Amino acid sequence: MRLKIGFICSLMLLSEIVFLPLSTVGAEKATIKMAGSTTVLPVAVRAAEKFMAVHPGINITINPGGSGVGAKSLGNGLVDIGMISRHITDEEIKNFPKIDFNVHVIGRDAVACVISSEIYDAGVKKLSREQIQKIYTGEIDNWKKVGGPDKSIFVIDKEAHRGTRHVFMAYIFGDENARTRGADLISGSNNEEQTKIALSDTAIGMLSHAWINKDVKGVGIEVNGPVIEPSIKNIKNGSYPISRNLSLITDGEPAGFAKEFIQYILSLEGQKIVEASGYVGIK
Amino acid sequence: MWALSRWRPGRAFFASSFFISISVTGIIFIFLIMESFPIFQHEGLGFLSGSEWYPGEVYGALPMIYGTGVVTFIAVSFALPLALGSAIITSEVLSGRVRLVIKMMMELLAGIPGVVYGLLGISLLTTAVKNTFNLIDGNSFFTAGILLSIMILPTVMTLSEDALRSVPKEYRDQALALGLKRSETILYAVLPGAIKGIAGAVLLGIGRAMGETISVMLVIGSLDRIPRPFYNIFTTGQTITSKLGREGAEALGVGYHWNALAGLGLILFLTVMGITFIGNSIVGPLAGRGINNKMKQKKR
Amino acid sequence: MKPLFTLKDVSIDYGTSPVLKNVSLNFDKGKVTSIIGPSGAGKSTLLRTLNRMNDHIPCFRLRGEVFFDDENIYNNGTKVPLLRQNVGMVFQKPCIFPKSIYDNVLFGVRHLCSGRKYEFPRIVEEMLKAVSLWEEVKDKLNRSALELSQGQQQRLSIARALAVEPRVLLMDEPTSSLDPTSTSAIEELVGRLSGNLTIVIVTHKLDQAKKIADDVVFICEGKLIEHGMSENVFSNPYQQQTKDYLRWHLCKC
Ligand SMILES: Nc1ncnc2c1ncn2[C@@H]1O[C@H](COP(=O)(O)OP(=O)(O)OP(=O)(O)O)[C@@H](O)[C@H]1O
Ligand SMILES: [Mg+2]
Repeated sequence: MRLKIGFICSLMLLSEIVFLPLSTVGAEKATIKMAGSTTVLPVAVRAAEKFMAVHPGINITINPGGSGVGAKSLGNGLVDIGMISRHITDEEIKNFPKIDFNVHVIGRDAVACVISSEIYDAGVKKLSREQIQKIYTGEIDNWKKVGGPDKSIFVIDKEAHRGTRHVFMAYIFGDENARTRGADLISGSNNEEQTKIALSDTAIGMLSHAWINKDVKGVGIEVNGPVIEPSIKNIKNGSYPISRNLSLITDGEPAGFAKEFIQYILSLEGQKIVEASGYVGIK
Repeated sequence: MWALSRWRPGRAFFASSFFISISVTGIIFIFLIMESFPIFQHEGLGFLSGSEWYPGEVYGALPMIYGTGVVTFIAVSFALPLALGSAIITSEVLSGRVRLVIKMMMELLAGIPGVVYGLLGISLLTTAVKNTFNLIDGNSFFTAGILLSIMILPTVMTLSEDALRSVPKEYRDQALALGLKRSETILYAVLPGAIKGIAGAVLLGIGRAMGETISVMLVIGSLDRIPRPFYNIFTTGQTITSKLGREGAEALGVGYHWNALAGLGLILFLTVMGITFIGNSIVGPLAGRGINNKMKQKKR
Repeated sequence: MKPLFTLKDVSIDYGTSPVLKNVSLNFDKGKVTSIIGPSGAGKSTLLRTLNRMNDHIPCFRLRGEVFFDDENIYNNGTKVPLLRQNVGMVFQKPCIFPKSIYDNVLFGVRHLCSGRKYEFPRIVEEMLKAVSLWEEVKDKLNRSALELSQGQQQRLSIARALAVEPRVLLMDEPTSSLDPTSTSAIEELVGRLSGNLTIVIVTHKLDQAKKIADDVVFICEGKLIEHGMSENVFSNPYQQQTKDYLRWHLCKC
């Protein structure tokens, strides 16, 4: 069963690696190039399909890679629109002085602290900020110490530039670039992280809450007593502590088709796509 | 080869493709040296000996160099006996038709892209390794090594088989006629004649193993560290290629981070070029046939 | 005297048309028997039947019986490597391993009975003397055997075969690629070796057969035409085909 899950997840990962960019290179077509966060990716892909259906003369190519890649690609002029799931760092602003980063927030998301379903089912349904901190520094290395079974914790961290990591670490350590001596593995995209956690039975990681499923469970965060679940409701009412904006970025004011595309995502129909992808709209 | 070089258009074609590949290689080499130069200025030899890598602060390549070495070593230790065994069976025992089918399958397998192996690895192999060795997780140097050994197996096997086949039939007949058993004939008459070709095959396999990116990236765990104790191959680590795959796009173009990745690229480039060069020069003109040529020269 | 080899009604094919057709034949102990016949007659095939070297040719099929010392060597139980130790073979082209002269002489011995290591130098000297090569190579035993001349290499091959101490030596046109001097050296060697050793030699050269053979076997298109003492066959053959072959070097069988 686990194998089958892993297999399906890895097929999704395959599509991410092999079949993207979703380019249909046609002659004389105007192209919008996009790259970045894998959290924003599903929204962008679905919106692009709908948008291209209405505007047959436009071709949209979308590359995954992570928020860092999104900012970098825009900075280097490789894309028209970058996708990020965090804010632009000072470092990035400094590296690209000529670029006027213009952020268009298209939705909100929660970064969940996720654990293998085996651990969740064995009783670990909530963790406090301090506990997560100690797990990532290696001070806590057994699930037993946080109310779970007597099993080593397999700590999964993310590539340093990923938006999910920035937001998660900013909350847990108060530092978006925090170092984690306790980490056992580094993963990249949401799909990869989901696969790794699904295949493990003692793992902890961080994941956009839209990727939570029956093998990868999001724990509640205990904040001074009450436990807050990573749910749409708690993102909406602002009580879930690790949430973030999902954004598209452009160099200055967008123009032409890029502007139209961003407006489309911000429209009622576009926002439905945001919500259908498991995020919260901005209206 | 001879016939080809007499055929003028063919000669021109080979010359030009040779020239193109040489110049592309040269350009890559120069590019890597230029792009990595700042990091050697910045870190000095500490770049090669340092074991900490935090972009923006410090760049030490040792964990990646270590990982590449270990993973390649594991890959070859598993691939070589299997490849050699199946090459011997295919070349010395099986009939012509079965042999052709196997060779065809092997060449087909050799052509499967790394991603596919990576995805099989990420689901099937990690789970198998985890269960077999009772680990917390299946991502490890060992898993990456095994995956690579599967990937290079067809290459090493077909090339070794070619080397065995190129040993003159007379050697086998002579050994058999002296009363040696089949196994002794292979061991004492065939293998010594093919040993250069086999060595070349292994070197080419090593070259491929070192250069493979995606499949390794998906199963090694991508953690920049040298395990403790250093021979603990059942933990996660990093290779040069997996590092490049993880951070290349993000570091693209500017800063020491990019220079450091280019430096990693340069290390890998030099190693793989060296090994491929040695491998090619062994496999190319000699490969067992060399002995035969010597014999012919003597006769004249 | 009982013959060493007895072939009873042997037919051989390699999947298509028969190469040997109902051959019945004896080879006597201690004699030199020469097999003659036109190209493609099946001489090599007949020779290789005696040490089962045909086994390695795809589609090889044999009907009939071949006895060596009263034992049917094509029985399932036959230990082929052991048979080949008793029935040595020298090929048309000398096959020299890319090793030293010393190691080439010992190639068979070393891998067959490794317990006699202290005897190796003696064996090498004895065998090289037996093939009259000792004086020429005694100072360069550790040099590569590939440096030797073609004729020397062929004599080295014979030394290597003799080192295993066979009772029979099969030779398939051993002089066809050699110069006259080396050829007569080997012809002389065959004469010296016979007596203790049974020798079966395939040759194209009738004068060679005349010179060295006690018995002559003439085959043509897979059929045994004539078998007898050398003097009789060459001076007064029974069969018309043999006469034609001896005179015109061609035959219609
Ligand atoms: N390996 C083989 N596979 C198939 N047929 C073979 C093989 N070797 C020999 N033959 C066939 O068997 C027949 C006899 O061959 P053989 O080598 O015994 O002849 P020969 O008398 O030794 O000839 P030559 O004087 O040319 O050496 C030939 O017609 C040849 O085509
Ligand atoms: Mg012949």
